[in-house]
Amino acid sequence: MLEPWAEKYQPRKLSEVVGQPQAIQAMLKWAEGWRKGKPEKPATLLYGSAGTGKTAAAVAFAREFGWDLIEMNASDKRTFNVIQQVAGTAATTGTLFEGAAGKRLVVLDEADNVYGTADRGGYRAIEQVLKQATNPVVLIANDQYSIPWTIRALCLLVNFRRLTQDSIVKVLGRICKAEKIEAEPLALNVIAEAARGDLRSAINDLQAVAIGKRRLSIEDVVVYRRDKEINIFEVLGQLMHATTTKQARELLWALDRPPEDAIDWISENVPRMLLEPADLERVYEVLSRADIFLGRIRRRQSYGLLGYASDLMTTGVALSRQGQLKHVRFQAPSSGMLMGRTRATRAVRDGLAKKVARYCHTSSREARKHFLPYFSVIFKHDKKAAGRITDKLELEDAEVNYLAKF
Amino acid sequence: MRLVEAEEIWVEKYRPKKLSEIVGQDEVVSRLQSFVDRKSLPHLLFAGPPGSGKTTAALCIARELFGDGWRQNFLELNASDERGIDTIRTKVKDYARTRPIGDVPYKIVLLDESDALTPDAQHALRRTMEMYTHTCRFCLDCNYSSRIIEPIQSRCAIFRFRRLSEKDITQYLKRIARAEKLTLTEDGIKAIAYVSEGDMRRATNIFQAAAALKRKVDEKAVYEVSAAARPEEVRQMLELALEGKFEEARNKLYDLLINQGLAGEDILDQVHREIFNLKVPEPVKVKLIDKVGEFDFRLTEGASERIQLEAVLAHFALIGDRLKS
Repeated sequence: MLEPWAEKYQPRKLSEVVGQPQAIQAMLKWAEGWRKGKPEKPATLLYGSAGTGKTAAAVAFAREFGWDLIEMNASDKRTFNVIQQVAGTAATTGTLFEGAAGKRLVVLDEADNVYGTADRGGYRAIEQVLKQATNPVVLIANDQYSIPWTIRALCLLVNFRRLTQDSIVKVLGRICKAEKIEAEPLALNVIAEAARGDLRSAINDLQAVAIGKRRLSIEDVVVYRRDKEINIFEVLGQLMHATTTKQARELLWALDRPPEDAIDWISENVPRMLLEPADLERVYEVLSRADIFLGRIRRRQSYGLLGYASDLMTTGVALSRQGQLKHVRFQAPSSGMLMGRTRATRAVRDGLAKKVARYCHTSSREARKHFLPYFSVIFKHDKKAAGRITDKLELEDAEVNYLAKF
Repeated sequence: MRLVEAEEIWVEKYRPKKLSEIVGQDEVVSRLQSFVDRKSLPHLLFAGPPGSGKTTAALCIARELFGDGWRQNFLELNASDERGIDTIRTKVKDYARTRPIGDVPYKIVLLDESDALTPDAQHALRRTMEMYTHTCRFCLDCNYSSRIIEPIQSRCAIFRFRRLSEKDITQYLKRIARAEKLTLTEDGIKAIAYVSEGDMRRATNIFQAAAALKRKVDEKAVYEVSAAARPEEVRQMLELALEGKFEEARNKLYDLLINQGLAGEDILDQVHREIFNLKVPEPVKVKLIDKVGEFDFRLTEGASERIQLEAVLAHFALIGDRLKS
């Protein structure tokens, strides 16, 4: 298989990292601190949107200073122990051959993905590792605010900006030269514009249109873009104007998103476009049916049902509409994401219900419905009684908080 | 001497320790008592509404038969909490395989909410019951005995627990009030009896929560507590939907799901109750109940409770619109 150009042309040196002079400057200064002993901040957090060069910079950085690179990313199981073992030892001991003088660079990629039950204790582990670190640690994330402040406080914050169209065009031009492709400047500009500051996706697009060609023209790019995934907002707009099942169906393929995600986008936006209550009810009836198929797929792993779910949420939704549409600003599915964020709260609630159920000889469901709401009144109004219940059931802090807040 | 631990959850603190203390089930209790007195026990099937004393009766029997160490020979499982019949069978088998501890003839296995088991699972359970009948007695609790397969019913002595009356609940609550040195007004008692729908467990929890508000428990305190357990937002959400303000209703729903951490099933439960208080014609209420029930069912089948609940709101919005014209 051909090597992806995005990897083939990854920067080897820090000076080759494009369009981030301030970030590189900050990293160099931080590295100097490490050479002299220990800098003020044990770690640096590289944050910025996708394809801006964060990981590439970290890799080039380690190479430039001759440090061993130890990389962990979201595909690793970031449990407390694993992070302690891998990052903890790497961050506190020197390398084997160079003794204490040689450093190791620990890179925690996708650091904003440390959440959920599988990663319980992950952030706590990172925090501890950072506090004990005698080696440089680099955290990488898209959004700095997705990292707990306790960890951010230990980090030098380094922002990677979206690249300008010009700097993307320059990189694309260099690649074309190396690949011996003669490219029209307009073609490269169209690719760069579509990438919206994401260099990696621009390089991927370039490879997709230019591979095997000696010449690259604007026509090649236009044809390619027509086939490529269209923006989800465009799809939503077009979906509600589709008049045949065939049209609506093709739109989901264009969406290129798994049906579980697509239904969130559709249910977030479509209801706001509808003026007629009857349309609203019909649309939701169809979404409800689609969701039932998704439920069956999830529970019984019957992936053969996926087609019904996706057909219903596109063709069903589009053709349920009879009345007029309202023009609305589309938005990302807020509720769905919020539900994800509350997964932890719900886990606390269910764990609590289980404890109460076991103690009071009943089921978790019954405990959730007919004990927790009343316990919550007690926890809000009678601290003494609350304290005694806490001791009795050996409740944890999170569970006490849940009852006091409910 | 062992110190008696302070018991802070009233449901446990005041749960009867002897069969004779059970309230409102005189006939059942006297039959059970005669088994206990003769120290011979058949398999038992307890049917009746929640909070009527089924679990308590089973616990009392174990205490009276086995004495202080009763827990060693008593296994309690909840069918709705144990995943799959296999878990139950393994647990029961592992437990029943060994001989009872001490000088007792058999162990007791209490299987709560046993009507939650599918007929297939019940047949498997029946074989397990037979296999260990020499070391183990089963006590199956259920809401409806008709949901228990014939072969199990015929092997059990069936006891029907009735829904507790206001009089029964009054008697029990007064006992608690005396022990806790609380004042419980007459209208307070009536309110608890009404809200708890004959479920002693709920009545006790409501009373305890109301007592956390103030030492004198009256009607007002009881309704305050039951309102806390039944947030105002549910009614507001339905009214918004009926007025055609779908997006606002939907935001209320997100608030219930996300900020208040309610389960979808519990929200629908309250939607069901609120239907009776809505300002819509009576025949419409009947149709709404049917719809809500349908979506309650879909909730268990679907992947996202949010979508199913939004669909309920969309239906309310449509009904509201039809009533306007």
